[in-house]
Amino acid sequence: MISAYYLQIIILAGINIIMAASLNLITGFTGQLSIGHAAFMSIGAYSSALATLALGFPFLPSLLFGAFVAAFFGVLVGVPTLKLKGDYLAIATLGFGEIVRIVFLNLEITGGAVGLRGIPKNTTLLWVIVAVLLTLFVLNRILNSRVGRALIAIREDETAAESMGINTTYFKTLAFGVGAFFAGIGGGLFSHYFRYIHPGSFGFMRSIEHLCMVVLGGLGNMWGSVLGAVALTTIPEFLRASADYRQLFYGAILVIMMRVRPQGLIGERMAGKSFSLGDSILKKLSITKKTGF
Amino acid sequence: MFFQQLINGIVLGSTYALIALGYTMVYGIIELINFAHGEIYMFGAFVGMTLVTVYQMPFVPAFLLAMALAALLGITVEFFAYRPLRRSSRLAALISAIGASIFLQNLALLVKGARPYSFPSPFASEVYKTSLFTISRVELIILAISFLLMLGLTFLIQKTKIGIAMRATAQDKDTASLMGIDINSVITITFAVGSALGAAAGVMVGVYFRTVTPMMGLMPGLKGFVAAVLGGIGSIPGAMLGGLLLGIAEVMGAAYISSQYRDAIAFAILIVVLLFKPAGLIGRSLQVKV
Amino acid sequence: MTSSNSNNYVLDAARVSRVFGGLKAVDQVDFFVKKREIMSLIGPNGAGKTTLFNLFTGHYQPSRGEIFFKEEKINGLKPYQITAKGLARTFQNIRLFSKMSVLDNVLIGRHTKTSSGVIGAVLRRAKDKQEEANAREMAMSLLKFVGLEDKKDEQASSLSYGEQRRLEVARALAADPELLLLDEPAAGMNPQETNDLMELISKIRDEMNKTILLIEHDMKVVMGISERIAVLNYGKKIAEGTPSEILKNEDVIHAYLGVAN
Repeated sequence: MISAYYLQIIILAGINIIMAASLNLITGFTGQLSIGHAAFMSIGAYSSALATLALGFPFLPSLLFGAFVAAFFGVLVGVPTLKLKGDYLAIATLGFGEIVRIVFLNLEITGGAVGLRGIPKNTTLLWVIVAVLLTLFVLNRILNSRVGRALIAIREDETAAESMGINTTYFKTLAFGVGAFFAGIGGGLFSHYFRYIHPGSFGFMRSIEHLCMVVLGGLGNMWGSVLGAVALTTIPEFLRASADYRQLFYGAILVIMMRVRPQGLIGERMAGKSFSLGDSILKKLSITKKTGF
Repeated sequence: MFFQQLINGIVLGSTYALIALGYTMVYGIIELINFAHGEIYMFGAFVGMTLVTVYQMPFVPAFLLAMALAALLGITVEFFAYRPLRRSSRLAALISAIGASIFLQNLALLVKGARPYSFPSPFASEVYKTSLFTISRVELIILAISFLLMLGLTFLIQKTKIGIAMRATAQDKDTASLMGIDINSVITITFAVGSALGAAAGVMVGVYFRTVTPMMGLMPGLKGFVAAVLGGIGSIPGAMLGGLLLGIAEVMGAAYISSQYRDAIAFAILIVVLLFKPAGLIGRSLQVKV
Repeated sequence: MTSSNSNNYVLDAARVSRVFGGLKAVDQVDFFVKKREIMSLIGPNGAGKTTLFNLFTGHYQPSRGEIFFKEEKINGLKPYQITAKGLARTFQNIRLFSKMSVLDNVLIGRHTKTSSGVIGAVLRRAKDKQEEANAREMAMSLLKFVGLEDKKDEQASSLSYGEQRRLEVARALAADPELLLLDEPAAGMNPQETNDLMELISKIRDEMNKTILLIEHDMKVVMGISERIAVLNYGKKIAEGTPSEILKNEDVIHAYLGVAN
């Protein structure tokens, strides 16, 4: 059997895949920079934990409850803020994240600064694997559909997208809602594994960590998010890096990746093919063949 | 009580205004939120504190040197994190800016540790009483310095050659460049001036609260940005007005509504402004070109 | 005011103005486009042609005046709502979804004529599959129509300039619009590409029964295919008529050549 330590890393990696993939939908595919993804995770974590603790829900309904509450807030924050252009949106999501954290810090039902304890350990490896696969499956299907095309079109050129009849506010809100839904699932899995959550578990740096995973693997590349999440979960563990070094490293990743490899480690690929790792390699080969005469 | 809160709000707000000026100047020129601005503010506070406590330097030269070194840091950040991305997407530039901020913050944490450093006030702790409010000497000095700096900046922008170049660049980079303005040096100077103002705010806040920490830039940095948006990003008088109003709103909100939600007030204001008056109080609204 | 015989008008604008700051970019323009005609909007640079286009498509709101599309008032509507009503456009500075495939670009044009949402995307029910298949078939036939069927899997940005212009036309046609607005479709084209374009525009009208309004600077295109021409200068409409009428119009000659005598 896997030791408890490795199991924890694997489960954390799985949760991070869900977080990174759902953030990628918002930021990588729809082009809306969100630096408050951890807020949706915390809403899912707290709501599902409370559903279990206070309402006595079984695990699956708790998870879904958390996800829907998170999605609700995703839409709620989306409707007003998505009229904003890039930079403002980033700040608004950051502000939203801070407000959520401060609210959890002060609410009685969430235990204030102490947080929630004694959440049953319902999250197993199997649950995480199923959740990861379902998340990737659903996101992939969305991206390879009329909806996904609309989202990518918004990223590519919002004005042109609107001229093609795409209600950009609606689809951006939709991306936030769906992204928040899966972030809520990630949060629910988190709270039912670690059994203890507090507002500090979901601060600004957590959101930055998710963004790093997406950027490392490549904005708009789902396999990239999987790779980014696994890499940024496991490597610091093996290096036993202190949290300070880890965060310094995150900062450096964001600057350096944007400068030298904005398309992510996996590389260039055509938009709209969310899982086209093979395609992109083939394309690379054919390009070298054409030019290498 | 009300007047006392008003005074406290104005003092706090004048430091927000100084921070906001850095954001708004940079945004006016390159349309990018300089996320690392809060860290430059923190850096300024550390330099000022170190010079005063370790090197026993008098306050005024320490203050000026902190501004100068912060200006250098601002230029460095621009050079490494922003300049290479000037032709990239805004998303890329924004992510790089966030990365620079995180990097500097954690560098400070590594070098200085998380514990707060005390910044003993170099001023006598005299307090002046009126019938409506009391105000300390430090508070008066903060108000005076902020006022002088803003006056100086207004003069720089309105009356000097570099100020004209800055305004021209903010209006239209390409045309400014055709008129023989060196865009790169205008951007460098803008970062330098904005960073120096941020550092000034950092030193003064350090003196005011008598502590300096690596994390001190995070919240004031965000609030300075909120102040800039409130006033109308890109507008210099807007940043000053936004800073003062935000400071007052925060102090009043903490006093009369709930002190626990003090930090949330700024963000609530941000979201309300963005919804109802996205151009800010005295900003221009921009039409997207089709 | 719309006249009583307006049933024949696809687009009908009454005394439309748009002011930017103090500048009257479009000044009390009356304008109509009849069903199945090819009409051109010409005028010197800065005359307000693209602004007028943007008023029709909802990118700008008129400061004054009313715009009717198929007898329905459309001012106040957002661009996506106007597109859904049957008015599609291309852009002066090509605005393709450059990192998407050629086929996907056209499929996005099909957005208003399809309806599958998130549920449909995930479950891929029979009707969703059918809708997607129909959209693809339609998109492929449009690509064939503009001569880009071989390039369907290429990234849009990899196309040549003329191909990109044609892809923009195909993308707009995918919305199955009643009225197609083309903003300087021949800009930057070589003579051969321009000829192909003229042929394409005529084909769109003749074979697809579309109404076409274009802004164009290339007088060969304008005189070659337009049935009616309207001329804007300094935001005002200074002339309107058949190509031969416009060629003889004194005001137009003055506007283009300056006050020569």
